[in-house]
Amino acid sequence: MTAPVAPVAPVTPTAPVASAAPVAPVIPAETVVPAASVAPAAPDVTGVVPTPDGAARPAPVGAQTAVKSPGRASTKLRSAPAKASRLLGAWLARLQWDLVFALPILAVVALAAIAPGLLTSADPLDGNPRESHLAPSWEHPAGTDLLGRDVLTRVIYGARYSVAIGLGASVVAVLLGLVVGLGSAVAPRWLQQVSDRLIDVLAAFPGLLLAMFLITFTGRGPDNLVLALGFGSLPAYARLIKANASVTLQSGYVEQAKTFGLSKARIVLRHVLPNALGALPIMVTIGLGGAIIGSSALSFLGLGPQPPAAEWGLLLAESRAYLRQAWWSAIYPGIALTAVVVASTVLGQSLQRRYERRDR
Amino acid sequence: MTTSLDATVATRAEPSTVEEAPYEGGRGIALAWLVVRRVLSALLVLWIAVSLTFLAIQLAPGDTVSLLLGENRDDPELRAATIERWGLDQPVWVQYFTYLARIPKGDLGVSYTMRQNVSDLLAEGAGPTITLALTATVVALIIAVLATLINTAPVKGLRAVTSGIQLVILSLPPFWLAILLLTVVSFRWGWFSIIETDSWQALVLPTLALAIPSGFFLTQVLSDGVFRAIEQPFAVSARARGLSPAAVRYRHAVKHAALPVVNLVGLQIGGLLGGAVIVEQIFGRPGLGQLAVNAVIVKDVPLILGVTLVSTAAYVAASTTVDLVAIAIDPRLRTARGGPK
Repeated sequence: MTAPVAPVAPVTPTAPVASAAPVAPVIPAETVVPAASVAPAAPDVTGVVPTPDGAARPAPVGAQTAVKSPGRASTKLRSAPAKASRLLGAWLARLQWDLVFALPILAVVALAAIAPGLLTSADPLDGNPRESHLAPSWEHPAGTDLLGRDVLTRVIYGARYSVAIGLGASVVAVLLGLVVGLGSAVAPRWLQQVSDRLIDVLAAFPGLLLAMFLITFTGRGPDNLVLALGFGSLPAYARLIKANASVTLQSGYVEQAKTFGLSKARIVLRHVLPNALGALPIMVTIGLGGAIIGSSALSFLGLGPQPPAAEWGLLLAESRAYLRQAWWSAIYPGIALTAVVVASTVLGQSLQRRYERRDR
Repeated sequence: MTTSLDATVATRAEPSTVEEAPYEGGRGIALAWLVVRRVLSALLVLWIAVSLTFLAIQLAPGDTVSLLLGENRDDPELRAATIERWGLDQPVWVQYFTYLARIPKGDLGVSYTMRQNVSDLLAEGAGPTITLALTATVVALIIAVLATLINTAPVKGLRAVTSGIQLVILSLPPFWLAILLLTVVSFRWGWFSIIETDSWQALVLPTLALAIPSGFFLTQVLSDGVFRAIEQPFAVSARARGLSPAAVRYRHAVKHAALPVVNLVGLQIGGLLGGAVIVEQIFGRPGLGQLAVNAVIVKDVPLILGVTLVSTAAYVAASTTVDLVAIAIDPRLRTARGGPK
């Protein structure tokens, strides 16, 4: 952790000596002035640079603004440790605690998804039947399952499925949502009404049931799961994208593009689409949690990856039969799932707040 | 699957049809017109839903008879019966009208894997699921009101704590919550055995598993509404009349904030049916959810069609009722566009 550095004394042409004077970390006792007066050695927020004869002259404007940054917290002269702790305090206050919590979790999950071998040396599929249902211990921090496989290893390897299926489903939903939402926004009024009604109807099916309905026709498996989940969250994305596009279409610059004679397709591609894309990362981050829960729920029901895959929902499904003997195999996958969903929701909300502030 | 994305959508997508009714003639006529409009639009949604399921059958790869028969596709007698029933030897538009005509009669076809009429299976499963969904709705509302009262209490720093707790509860995968309840409450403490599915004890844990996520979702909306209502002129004037802050909060603001919640409850009932799929599976309760899961696993197309149509109908009925209730509660919705003249 590095605290922001105190501002350097500005070089001013009117007071060349001032710049030469050391910005002393420890000030000799006799130079300390009463707290009410302005600090002598280091320039501070008042923008006053001391001269050798003690007469204060105003610092140039440039120097004044340069000083305005972090050093502002210390108007009084203090010893270095006190100043550092004060700066640290200011830095901690500005720190976004929600992100401090969310980003490390997401980083660990991303690492587990990309290179699970770095986090564990065991094999998720390799069990030792003699070590069936061992309670958590130093060797197996999260215990072992029925077949003697290390639960922690399986949870780590499971990140890949959840992240891949969740992201995949979000991407499918966004692509479909872009087509439906943008198409509907520029369509003639009667077609808009029809597509709005269709989306209403799709939204009337609970997302999970809609996905199950589709899986009946497509069959089980991870890739069909991605498609079904993506389609299941299509209504939400299509509505948001359409709302966004309708606002853009009424904006001044689209009006101007029309007077310049740009075709409708060009306006959509050049103006409406980029505008809709701007909000998408936020929508996807917020929606990701739901997609991950949905994917694990469907896997839990046996409609996703099949055993012996180490998907979190599947791990929970397998643990169900042995809840009385081995609670640990039901706890850790659930904690992992909850942590990922909380972290991605927190990140999404933080991004959203930032995005909304940007417009003001 | 109630995420905050759903929440934004749900609040934005409140049916606007109620507000568009023309204000002509007496209040009674306007009101009747509103109700008729709302019911007609519900029927329209149902019709589209039925048409979409028909489209799904038509678009599915492979021949329709085999699709409907599943594992029994080689039985010539069943083949003939299915072709006859679904009108599969007719042109597509005749098939469509046959299908449309059959559904209002309750004829949803035959589940060949269960060797029973789909409508009989659904009638059997609907009872437990409806009981579960209704008790869960009531409990969710109780949770929402209680949590909102705690949430909006004027204690400094309380909001940060409660919103953190709510975020975690809302992020819990619903099936994990159910497993936790089952492990801790039922197995560890020995309360609320789930073995006898007909007893009230067996209903407690599944209800909680459904009601907790849904209740905290409603809490978010209700609390937001209360915070917004406190700043409104009527709340200020109530304070000026000498009511205590607590009285304003609990007597005026909560009532005011309850309106969007009434609408959301209708939307939530659809979500509860989805949640019931998982909860029924975990607690081993019979019901529509169990039927749906089995139908998907063995690819029983007529049965999954039936479950889908029934749950859509339930959702449409719930949201229509809720809209009509909202009109009954809130006089502003009745005057619609014309406003008080």
